[in-house]
Amino acid sequence: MRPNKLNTRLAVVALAVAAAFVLFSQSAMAKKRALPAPALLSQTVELPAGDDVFPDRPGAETADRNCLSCHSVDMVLNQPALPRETWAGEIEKMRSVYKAAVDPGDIDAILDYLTAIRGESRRSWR
Amino acid sequence: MSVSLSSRRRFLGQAAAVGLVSSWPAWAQDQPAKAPVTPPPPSPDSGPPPDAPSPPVAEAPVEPPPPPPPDPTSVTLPLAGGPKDRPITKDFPQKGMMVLQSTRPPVLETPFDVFDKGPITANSQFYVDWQTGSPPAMVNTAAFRLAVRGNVSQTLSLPLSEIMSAFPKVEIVAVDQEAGNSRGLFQPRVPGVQWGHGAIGNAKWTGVRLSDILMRTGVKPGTIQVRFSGMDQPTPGAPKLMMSLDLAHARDGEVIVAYAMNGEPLPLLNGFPLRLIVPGWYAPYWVKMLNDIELLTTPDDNYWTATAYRVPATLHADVAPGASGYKTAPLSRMVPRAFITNIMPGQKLAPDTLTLARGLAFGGDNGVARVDFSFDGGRSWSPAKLGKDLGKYSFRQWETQFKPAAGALTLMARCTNTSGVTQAETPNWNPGGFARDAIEALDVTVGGDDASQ
Repeated sequence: MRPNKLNTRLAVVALAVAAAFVLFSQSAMAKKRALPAPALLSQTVELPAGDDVFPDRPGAETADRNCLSCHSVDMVLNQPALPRETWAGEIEKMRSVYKAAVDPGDIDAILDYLTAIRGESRRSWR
Repeated sequence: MSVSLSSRRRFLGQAAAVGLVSSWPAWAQDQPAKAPVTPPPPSPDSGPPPDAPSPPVAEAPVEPPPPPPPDPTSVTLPLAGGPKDRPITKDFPQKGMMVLQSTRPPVLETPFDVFDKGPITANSQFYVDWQTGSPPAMVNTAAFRLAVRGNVSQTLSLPLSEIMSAFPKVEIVAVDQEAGNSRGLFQPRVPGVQWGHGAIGNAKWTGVRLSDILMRTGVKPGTIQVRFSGMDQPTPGAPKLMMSLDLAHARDGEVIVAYAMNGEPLPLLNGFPLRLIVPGWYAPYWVKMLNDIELLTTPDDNYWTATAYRVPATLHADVAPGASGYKTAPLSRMVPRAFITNIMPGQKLAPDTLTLARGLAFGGDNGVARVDFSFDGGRSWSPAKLGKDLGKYSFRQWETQFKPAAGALTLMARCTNTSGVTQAETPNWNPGGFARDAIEALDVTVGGDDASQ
């Protein structure tokens, strides 16, 4: 009898431990799930205007009018000296891919301007 | 407290030696600038009796650090040619000092000295890149929804709270590198943002697996690609930035939708509130302000995936300048790179002195197996000691020591990843200025009258 009783007691203890474990782990899980995720608060920021214009020389106003509605002038002024053909390709990409509203009559003046400020004679690379 | 202060000051001393202090962000400068605690003046009635032995001398007041030098207003990037100077700006929201590449759209480079502070890049100085237009200046997180649609069993419109609570949270440390990082070093030069080496950063990203979101929506048979786009709108008429991954990649469990960066919400300019993280792949795939996931049954033919972000399908994405007619492939996995971060180009080193070289490396689409260092222009190499491993997609810091003899030296670091891929010895070239992976050379002078330690 006694061993049985002991066994029962052991079983009860074991059950209690198991139950506590289950309860604890459940409550831990519940707690984990209930932990509020760090709230993402709405954000409002102010971005610099980027409204500088091209350096003054013939064609600057044409470049201002056609280029600066989509991007700031530093995007252009940070470019290296490039062959005239490359600049022509860039203007064409702005028109055909990015749909920049470049007046066809202004293209030559813009190309002259860009070649004057960031141009180079065509290199010998193929 | 005093330990951290003194180690902080020692670090400052080191940093000052290589001219770094001035470009520290405000948060880093605040700490040492704190006035030392001075004891309150003795009050007349609680002072010690005149004949009492003088109290033990209080701990010597900490010597106040010298005032930080004024913030630099410009920086010279190590480009292949001019213009090399860029303004340093603090005008952008949630950002510290950044190298200004373009104001509109915002394109900001991480000042290079930031990379010497360790393998994690602070959010406040993490690089910023927007392709067309500018991101919205306002994000209402209550109204925000992530759409999951297309060839799905059930279209989803997930609020942020649900994304953050309904899916298991995962974390990964991963390098985010713009495809055109280091474009300004291409020769012949190519148009595009003329980046130095700072269009890169490494952060701990927290979010949920894309595969779990796809499981919830139910991927219908016939799906071949998954396309991602964000809240930003292009300039009128321009193609909206969208990037796609093959379905198997999108489901691999490594791609995550992140809502936190280094334990904080993402800065708006880095893609708040959600950003796609594609470990091991170039940044164009890491769509910012992600709010739309579309499952496609035909290959994505949008401009960005099909045209803009393509590279030559050659080893190291390398072609001869001016070449044409070669096959191209979509930009994809990154390749190993290594940088020396504690020595600046042109710096003067002391001769016959044990000198520390330290830097960062990453293995691209796999872990860093080794970093080798050379101070003879690549003729001989010796292995560097690797720092803590934060995961296979992370930066790994490395360091080594060398004893240079007087003269002009070229320092190099070379990373080999765990797949055995190593860096190219000569720079690659392609017309997009993409995927530079050559061993970078850093020229220094050793000795001379004005050599400094």
